[in-house]
Order: sequence, then structure tokens, then C-alpha cells
Amino acid sequence: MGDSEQEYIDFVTHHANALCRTAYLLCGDWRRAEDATHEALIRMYRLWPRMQKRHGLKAYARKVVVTTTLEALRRKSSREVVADSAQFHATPDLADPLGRLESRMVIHEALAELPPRQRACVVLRYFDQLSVVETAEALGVRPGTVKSQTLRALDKLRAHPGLADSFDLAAIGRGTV
Amino acid sequence: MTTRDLHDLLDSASERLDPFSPDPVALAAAGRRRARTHRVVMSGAVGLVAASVLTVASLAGAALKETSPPPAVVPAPDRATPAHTDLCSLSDNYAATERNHPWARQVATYWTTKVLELSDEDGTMTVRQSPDGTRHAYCVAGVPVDGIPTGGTGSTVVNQGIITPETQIVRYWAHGCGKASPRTYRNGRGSDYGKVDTCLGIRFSFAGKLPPGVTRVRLKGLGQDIDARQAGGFWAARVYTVEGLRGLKDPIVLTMYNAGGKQVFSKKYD
Repeated sequence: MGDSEQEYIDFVTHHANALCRTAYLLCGDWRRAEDATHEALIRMYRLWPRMQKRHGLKAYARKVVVTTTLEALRRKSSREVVADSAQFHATPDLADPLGRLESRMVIHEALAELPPRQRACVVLRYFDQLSVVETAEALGVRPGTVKSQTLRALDKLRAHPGLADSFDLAAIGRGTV
Repeated sequence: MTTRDLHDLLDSASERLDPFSPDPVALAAAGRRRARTHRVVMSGAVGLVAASVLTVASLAGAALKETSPPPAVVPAPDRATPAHTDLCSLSDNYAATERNHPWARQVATYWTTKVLELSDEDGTMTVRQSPDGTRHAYCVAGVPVDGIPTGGTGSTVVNQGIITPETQIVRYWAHGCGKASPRTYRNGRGSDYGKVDTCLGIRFSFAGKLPPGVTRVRLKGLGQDIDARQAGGFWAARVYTVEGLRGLKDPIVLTMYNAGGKQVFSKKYD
């Protein structure tokens, strides 16, 4: 096994789960998220020799994952129904397990109500903690588009009953994106 | 709420019990295959275009000489068919399986030879053989709850002890009710939001090909101690937990034994 292949294997070992989590927040379905991550990592293998010479492997991987996930969402049949797998993967929280679970379900519901592009902006900006420019690069759009889409997304999150009741989102987005 | 709080909320929402850890060697192999296919397609494209031009030209000429019968009407796919709940993966190549819904539907429909089948209140797990007998797939079908098909993808164990890619252990999960009645399910969306959910459990399905020398596969945990069913060189078992939402308090331990009763492999799922 060559060094290049070993580095690819190391990359997959260390980053696959993080990429899959991003994909999951974009599509709300672990199965699709894993499929998208698989597909992205396979695509990356073919480009790996060229990519190694550049910086920002993780950023490129994230871009491929986002593109693959959003492509899959566009193809998704409107009749397909998938379970909200967040319910099955809750982590123990002895203090308030059901409250914690409820919070997850609310954020999942709120994300599901956003258009894919706005959801991607929220996930990349606030989960992956990318800058506006990095988010724009990942989505292949202009920074101004990221700013406007993020603001619209945050407005919708503020208006969501579950989040409005539980959190004060007013502090986010006003002049910070 | 600060950006940090939103980050934490998103972070919490994407946590899972078993981190996604695909087999990188299998992914690299799939990448190599993809690269080979890409090269072949690119090199053949020019020839294909030329051949297509010739074919179209000859067909056009023939059409001028005779009237063809109207083409047969191919019925459109039945879009009203409910989403299939079978999740299928190749037995020896979980990571590289073309794990999309059409493929799973095809396997569940046409791979009718069932080497092994396990059924319970929450659905079935089958080991299916391809029509040509050369491949096998694991399929998990969850019982729809309130009309909603449920289920989730699994994880795989390879290259640990005696477990090789060929005998890899796969685990799926699906929404489980056990013996709960009535079986109601809250999906957290729309008008169903707020409905009381009586199905809070998980039905785990485990399967694999028996490694050489292994005669018994045992799963112990969650108050259950069962021997996996075996047939045709494969094994499968299903375990239910009502406490799935809060994590596995009692880990599941999968143990393999040889004919002499000696333990030859053990894996703890927690």
C-alpha cells in the first residue's frame, strides 16, 4: 500500500463521522447521510493524488459531501417517508433525557422546514463553524448569498414555535453573519 | 441564545450511539473501481459516438423504407406504491454496497431465495441469495408504525480478530415496539407532533457469514441471552430494547465459539 493510499485511509478514518454528521443535518436521515458520505469519499479517492498537493482537504471533502447530499435531496421522491432517526440515537442524559430528546426533535423539525440552501447555510455556519467565505466556497455561491440565506434561515428559526418557546434566537444573525 | 448555543444544539442533534466508521479499505477499493470505469468510459466514448452516428443513420434509412409498428407502451413505475422498508446490503461488502432505495427494492423483490429468515413483532431480517447464486444480501424490513416505515442503516465490523471482510458483522437498527400496544409513533412533524409515542425501543438486527471453525454465535445483553439462528453458512439474530432512547444501559455482547466450545471472538456493543 502506497503512502498516498495510506493517507487516504487515515483521512477517512478520522473525518468520515464528522462529514456524515454534517450530511445528516442537511438531510435528516442517517441512511441518506451515510450514502452521501460514502459517495463523497469514493469521489475523493479518484481525485486524491491531485488533492494532496493542495491545502484544505477537509474543506474540499465537506464541499463534496454537501454537494452530494443536496443532489440526493433534489432527487428524493416526494413519496418516500423516512423515520426521524434522531429518536434512536439519543445519548444518555440522566438529568433530563426526555427534555434533551425533545430539544433534538425540535431542532430537527425546524431544520426540516428550511429550504435546503438555507439549511445548508445554518449547518455550515453554526455547526461546522465556517466563515461566510468558507460557506460560500462550500456551497459554490457568493458570500452575499450566504449572508442573505443565513438571515432568512435564522428569521424562520426564530419564528418556529418550539425554538421561540425555548430559546431566544434574537442574539444571532443580527450583524453577526 | 448565542451562536455557541446553536452550535451545541446542532451538535447534540447529530450525535449518535455508534459513530459512522466506514471501512476505508473498502472505500479505497470502490474508488479504484470507479477510476477504472471512468477511464474505460472516457476511452470508449469517442468510439461510441461514432457508432451511434452510424446506427442512427442506418435506422433513419430503414424507417424511410418501411413503417414500423408503434413502440410498446411501457407502464410507468407505480408511484403510488408505498416506500419499501427493506434495507439491504451485500453480505461481504457493506461499505461499497450500492445502498440506495431502488437497489434495495430490486433485491427485496427479485432475490427471492431466502437462505435465512428471522421474524418478530417489529419485522424481519433475511439473508437473500442473488438469482445467479453468487451473491448474498442482508435485508431488514421494519414494520410500519402508524403507516410510517421505520428503520435505519447499520454499522459493520471487519478486520477484528477472526472477522474478515468476507465474514464481516453488520448491525442494523429499526424502530421497535416489542409487545407494546397500541403501537403509536410520533414522527415529530406536522400534525403528529406531540402525539404520545408508545414505541420507544429499538430492534437491533445482527448478521454475518460464519467464520471458518465457528459453530455458535451468542448474543447476550438487554436481559436476553440468545443463540443466533444459522443456515447456509450465515447467522442472524435480532435483539430488542425498550431503553434505546436513553442508550444501552446493558451492552450487547456478541460471542463466537468453535466446535469445542472455546470462545474465538467477542465484540461488545454499548
